[in-house]
Amino acid sequence: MSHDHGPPPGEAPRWLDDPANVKKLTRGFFAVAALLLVADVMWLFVHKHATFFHNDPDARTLAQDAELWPGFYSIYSFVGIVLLVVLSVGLRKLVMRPEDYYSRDYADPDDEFGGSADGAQPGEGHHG
Amino acid sequence: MGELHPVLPLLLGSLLLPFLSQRLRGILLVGLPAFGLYNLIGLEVGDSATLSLAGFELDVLRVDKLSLLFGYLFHIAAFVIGVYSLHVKSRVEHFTAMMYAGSAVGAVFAGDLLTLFLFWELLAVTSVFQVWAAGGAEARHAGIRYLLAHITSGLLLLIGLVMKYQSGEGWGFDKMDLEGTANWLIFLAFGIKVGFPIAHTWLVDAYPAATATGTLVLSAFTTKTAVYCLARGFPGAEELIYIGAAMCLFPIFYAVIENDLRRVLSYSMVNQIGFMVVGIGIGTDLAINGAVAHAFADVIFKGLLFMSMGAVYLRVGTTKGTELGGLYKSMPWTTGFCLIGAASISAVPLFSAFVTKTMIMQGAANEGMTWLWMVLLFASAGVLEHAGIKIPYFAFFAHDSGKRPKEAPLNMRAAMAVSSVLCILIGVFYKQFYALLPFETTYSAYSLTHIVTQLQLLVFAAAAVFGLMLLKKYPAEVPSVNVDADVLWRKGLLGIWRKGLHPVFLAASAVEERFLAWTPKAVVRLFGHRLPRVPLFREWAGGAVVVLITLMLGVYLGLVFFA
Repeated sequence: MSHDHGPPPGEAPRWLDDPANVKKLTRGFFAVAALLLVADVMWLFVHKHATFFHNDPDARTLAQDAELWPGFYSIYSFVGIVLLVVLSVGLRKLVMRPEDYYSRDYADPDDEFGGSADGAQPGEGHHG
Repeated sequence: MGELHPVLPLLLGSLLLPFLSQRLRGILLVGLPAFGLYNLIGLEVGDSATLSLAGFELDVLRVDKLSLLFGYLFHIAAFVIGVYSLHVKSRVEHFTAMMYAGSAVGAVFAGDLLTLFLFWELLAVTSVFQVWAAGGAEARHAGIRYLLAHITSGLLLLIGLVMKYQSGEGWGFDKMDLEGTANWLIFLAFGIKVGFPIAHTWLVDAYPAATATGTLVLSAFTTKTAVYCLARGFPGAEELIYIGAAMCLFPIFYAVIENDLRRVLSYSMVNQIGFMVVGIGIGTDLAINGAVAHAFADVIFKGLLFMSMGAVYLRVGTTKGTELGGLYKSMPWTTGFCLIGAASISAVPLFSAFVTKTMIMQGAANEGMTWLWMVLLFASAGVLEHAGIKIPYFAFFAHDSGKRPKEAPLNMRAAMAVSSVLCILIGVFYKQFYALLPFETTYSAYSLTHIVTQLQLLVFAAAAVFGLMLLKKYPAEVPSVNVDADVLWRKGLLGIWRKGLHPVFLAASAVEERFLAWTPKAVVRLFGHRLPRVPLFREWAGGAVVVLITLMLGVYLGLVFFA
């Protein structure tokens, strides 16, 4: 794959090209994630604003309660994405085809009408 | 009222475009939408106009908050498109794009179904040139398939409105129930254009085949006109909830494995429209507000993403993930704009989708639709995966492809800047934006809980993606196509033709050959070397013939009706 190409020779490396800097970014990202989780746990002690609003608290279902659990959104989206990617890889086995899967049906891609003038098709044994 | 009908500045103005030089066209490309918007601001809720045509009274103008909102939107989109395509040399592209924008404006201000139908057809015919202008067999074929879907949609709409008229209901374009054949046909006509599952393939098929600017042009008008029509015609139709939920879900799986980034965005579009369709299906004031607000925001942020990919396509010649990477080094502006679009579609607080999509989700929660809310939440995480991370990452970062394309032309950057500013303005000054929505609302997305939970959703979705990438479990880009529902006709129908019908035609040709041999020489001489061949027998003609038959059916139906 063409991904093996690197920068053209002689080009000055960028800030992002240094693995140490990428590591800094990654660390920052995980720090933000941890901070968000902490913020969520703090909510155990104060009022959390529910998306599912009921005047009668007993009317809430278990699934509706879930959104108030600390870390619900984090876990839901993390597991969701893992599931999404795993299922997509499975889907790929089902639906992936070579790039010319459709275009090889075109009689002659360069011809104005997609078929030669007298209607002959390659490999079709059409009369000419 | 004293103002012009809102369709006139764009539609009449577009007629000048083919005759003007590049420079003068440029002035009109930005001037017409700007003037149109100024004219539109002068209109007031309640304004209306009728036009007599062939003995029928057409309600060509209905101004209310819903139609005005889409009117504003389409003018803003036309303005951005104008700036973005200033460098384009093709008169045809400029002319048809402006006419296309005008048709969309005409459709949303249509007060009856017949007027809507006329603009519906004009939308189809003018838009296909954005695909064909790309040139080559791929684009030509995609264009024909696109046209087929839209002519079918128009035909359903026409049959539906004729049936309504004949049953004495009249053809007013108001709220309809999903009862009776006529209303169902109209529902399906809207459904094809809005990209209901299975019908959605015209979108993911044609949009990536269009020109660098064409994909942007296409993304703004057709589906959003259909969203408007559903909001006008079928608010609260329960079926829309299930259809919309399906539209939210399946495209995000395809988006993970698709290699062409413009096609990833097309799947993403179906997913976003799914949110709108769900909102219309819920049908409460809050949900409808959310649906149309999200349509507004989507045209701008999805347009922005399509613009960034259009710039890449213009400079590199492809948007396939396998051939990109590291472009931020030479296209920093485009990268920045793409990231703003990515943040907007992912509903990061302070960006547009955060104040629009969440209205739909709150609408679902208020009705106690827990499962639906869970589906939408999952789909929101999926949006971050493909539009928030995959698009910018594979195009501009990832592994360095070694390509150093020039930065996008100045006009493209200007257009992207305008859209970027709009994305943030909507997200920050949401109260002013909400005032434009059809229903009054006191909703605010900015509660502390909501901000923190939304950030959790996004950050942990991103963490999952990065984690999978580190573990090498994230699917690599592969040069490939993924078959979708259109394999049914692109392979299935082709198979029926090759194995079933073609042999019959071959036999018929053999008979024709005999006949030719038997024809007296004098006749042959009269008609040239041979008698003309029947072009129907030629394989390429398949698509064209279906288009022709569908068109003839439409004309026939029209004639029967008007006679």
